[in-house]
Amino acid sequence: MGFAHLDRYADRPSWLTRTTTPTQRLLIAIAAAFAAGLMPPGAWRALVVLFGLVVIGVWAARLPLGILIRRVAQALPFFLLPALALPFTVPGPTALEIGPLTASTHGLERAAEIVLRATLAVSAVTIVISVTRAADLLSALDALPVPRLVSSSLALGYRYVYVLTDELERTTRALKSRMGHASRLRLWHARATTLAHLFVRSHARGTRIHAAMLSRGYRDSLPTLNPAVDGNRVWVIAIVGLLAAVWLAGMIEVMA
Amino acid sequence: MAHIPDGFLSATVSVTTLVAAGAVTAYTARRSQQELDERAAPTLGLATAAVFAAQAVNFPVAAGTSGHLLGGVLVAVLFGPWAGYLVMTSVLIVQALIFADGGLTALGANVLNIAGIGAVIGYGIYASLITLAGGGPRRRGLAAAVAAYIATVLTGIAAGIELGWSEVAPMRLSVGAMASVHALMGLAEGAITGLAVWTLARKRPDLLHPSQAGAPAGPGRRVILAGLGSLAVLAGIFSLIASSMPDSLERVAIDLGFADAGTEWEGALFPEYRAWLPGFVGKLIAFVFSMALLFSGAAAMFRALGLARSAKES
Amino acid sequence: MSASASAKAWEVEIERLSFTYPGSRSPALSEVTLSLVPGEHVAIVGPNGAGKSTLLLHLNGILEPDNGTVSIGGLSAARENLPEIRSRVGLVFQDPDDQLFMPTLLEDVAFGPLCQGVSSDEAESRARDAMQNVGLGDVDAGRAAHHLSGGEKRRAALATVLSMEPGVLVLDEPTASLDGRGRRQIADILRARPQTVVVVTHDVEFAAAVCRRIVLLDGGRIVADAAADDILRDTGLLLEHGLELADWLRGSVPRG
Repeated sequence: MGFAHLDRYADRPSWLTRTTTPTQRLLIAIAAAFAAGLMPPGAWRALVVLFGLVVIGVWAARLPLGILIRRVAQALPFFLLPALALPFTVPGPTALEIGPLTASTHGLERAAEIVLRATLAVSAVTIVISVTRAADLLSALDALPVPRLVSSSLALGYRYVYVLTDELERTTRALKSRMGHASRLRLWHARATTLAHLFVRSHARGTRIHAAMLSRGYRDSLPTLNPAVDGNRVWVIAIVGLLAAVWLAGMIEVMA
Repeated sequence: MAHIPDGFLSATVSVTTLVAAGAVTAYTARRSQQELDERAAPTLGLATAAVFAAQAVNFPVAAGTSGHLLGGVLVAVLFGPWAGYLVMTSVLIVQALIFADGGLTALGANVLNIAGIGAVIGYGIYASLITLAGGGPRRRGLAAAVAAYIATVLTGIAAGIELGWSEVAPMRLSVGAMASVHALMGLAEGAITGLAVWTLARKRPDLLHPSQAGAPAGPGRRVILAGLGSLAVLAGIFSLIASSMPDSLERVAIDLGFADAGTEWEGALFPEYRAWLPGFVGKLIAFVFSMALLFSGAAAMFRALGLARSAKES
Repeated sequence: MSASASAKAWEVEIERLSFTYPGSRSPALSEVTLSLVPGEHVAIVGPNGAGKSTLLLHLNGILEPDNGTVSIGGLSAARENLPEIRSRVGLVFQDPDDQLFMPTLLEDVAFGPLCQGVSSDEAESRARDAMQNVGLGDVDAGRAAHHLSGGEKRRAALATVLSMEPGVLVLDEPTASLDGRGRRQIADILRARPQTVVVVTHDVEFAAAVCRRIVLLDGGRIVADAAADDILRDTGLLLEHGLELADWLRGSVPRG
């Protein structure tokens, strides 16, 4: 997805953005990701219900389907490839043979489940991330039990990743034009050196930013502005509760 | 590759690792704040941005594949183990939310593996090596390279263990597979980290975290190195012996319930792979693991002795 | 243009200021004495390494003098007074990216007031006023400063201190890397400021356009302190201290 595309769809009004604050939305995304990711193996019906809920979520957020598909496609290699190894390693009756390899039915089932679970989790997070401004997401994280230092590292990290990436790109481009047909070892050495310089420069910039912060009265933590929107608590509790219930249903389904 | 996606971990493993990671994160936040005071936010914030920028740099390997830096040991060398852990944790949170690199349910596990083992234990290995071998720029670079390599393999093993506990695959398969992959990835991580630290130690040694002491002085060093050397040889021999008995390992696995009691798997990959996996990879894993443990443990012990001796003398 | 009516202007008294950077052999500043009446606009010019930026960093206590004193509006810049001093002095650094460090522009400009203890709503309103004052009223303040052009960033950096309603404005190289239009915008904004203004710059013509008085600093000492027009006419003085006027580049440099 990339940092650059973060805010592109963040301002379209939708039921989701009207009814929830960024913090509430983040909580829903987390609840959905956990409900999907932690669904026990074999809970097919619960997974289907969850799939339905995600579809409703896409509609409620007015998320263009193309965005969702593109995002899932980007995330796919991370879980699809490891999942594909499973059919060949889980014992069970043979489903099909591919050359010297045999896949079991149980393995195929497990693999399909994992792929579905991961897809649903990624989709839920995508829905919320795409319709929320990056800056709002950062202050939403602040509201969660995340240590202050982590949320300020994230805020500053987000602000300066563009700046540092631009600087780094300029350096590596200059390097590339000088290196021509240099050996791979030379290239590695040169690039590793640019990484070293990157950290040196970031340290210097950190010092200057600190001076700028002090000049404006900074004491020990980054201050925040009050959020503009009010959310509908009842709906949020209902949604989170529903997700939890679906997960529980999945657990029961497996135990029966 | 090092990041575990959603959907693989069981509820128990996910929640346990989340709680553990949360506790460690709270601790490191407090330590970093103490060390850096109000400089903490700008320094660590910029470090987080730097890690993101650094992770995007391509290190071409062959025919389109390329390596990338994860950065655990590098940030630990610069900012110390605790701040290094915190920076990597921030990076992992963003990766899970924005890039879907690593699942939210696996965040706890990924934090423990990549930030905990990568930064904290990686730093321990680096500091132990520096304590033993001395602190010149080339040695620091080499120590960082070795520490990054070992830490990467350990990260893979940890991920494999978490996957095995989640019963995604038999434990020795998940550990074996993850360890092998990371044994390869670790080469890039080690090389890049080593080169970067070498440059930093030469150009800006003032930026390296000050808790890295120099080598203990005196003739004791030769004795220490000889002792460690023989321990390493013994460890190597032991692991060779242990892994030449795959059947006994398998029996242990069956007893512990990791493998199916019916060993005639109809869906088994190749018949030979059961012997192959514990054989070579098992050797490698056992060797690397014991080396890491021995170096860190012995160095820590000797450093403690050295400190106690100098404290008595002063 | 509301905020400017209520802005105070403090006098600035620098008395025999001397400072040497730790580890350096020669002093960066020697016996600098300078006095500004409230509302006066003064430019400090000089060659590279003259100590101009070092002098600025003493004005809000980022650096402490080895000898001598700095006082703003009668209040000495001692450590116990720093919070109040930093409210009185708005320091704008050379690189605007170092001062725009929050996830959104609005939070950047509201940072100062929030650190001063002002309420969130009041801080937001001051921030919006300040942005209006520098001509950024139409920019989307809910995004990070990364999206702004160079000139916009410089004006945004100025807004971050204007929102604190300081009585003294201090700027370090405000025209570096600006094009002609950007330079003019900054000049217009600064000329209209009722506060006491100190501008450090290489750009001698810009100095004369914005300030009636120019102080020439070289080797850590004040070598001239006079009306802007007088300094510009004294070509010998300018040449001696490494300064040049723009049209000298075309023809031959006139002899003193």
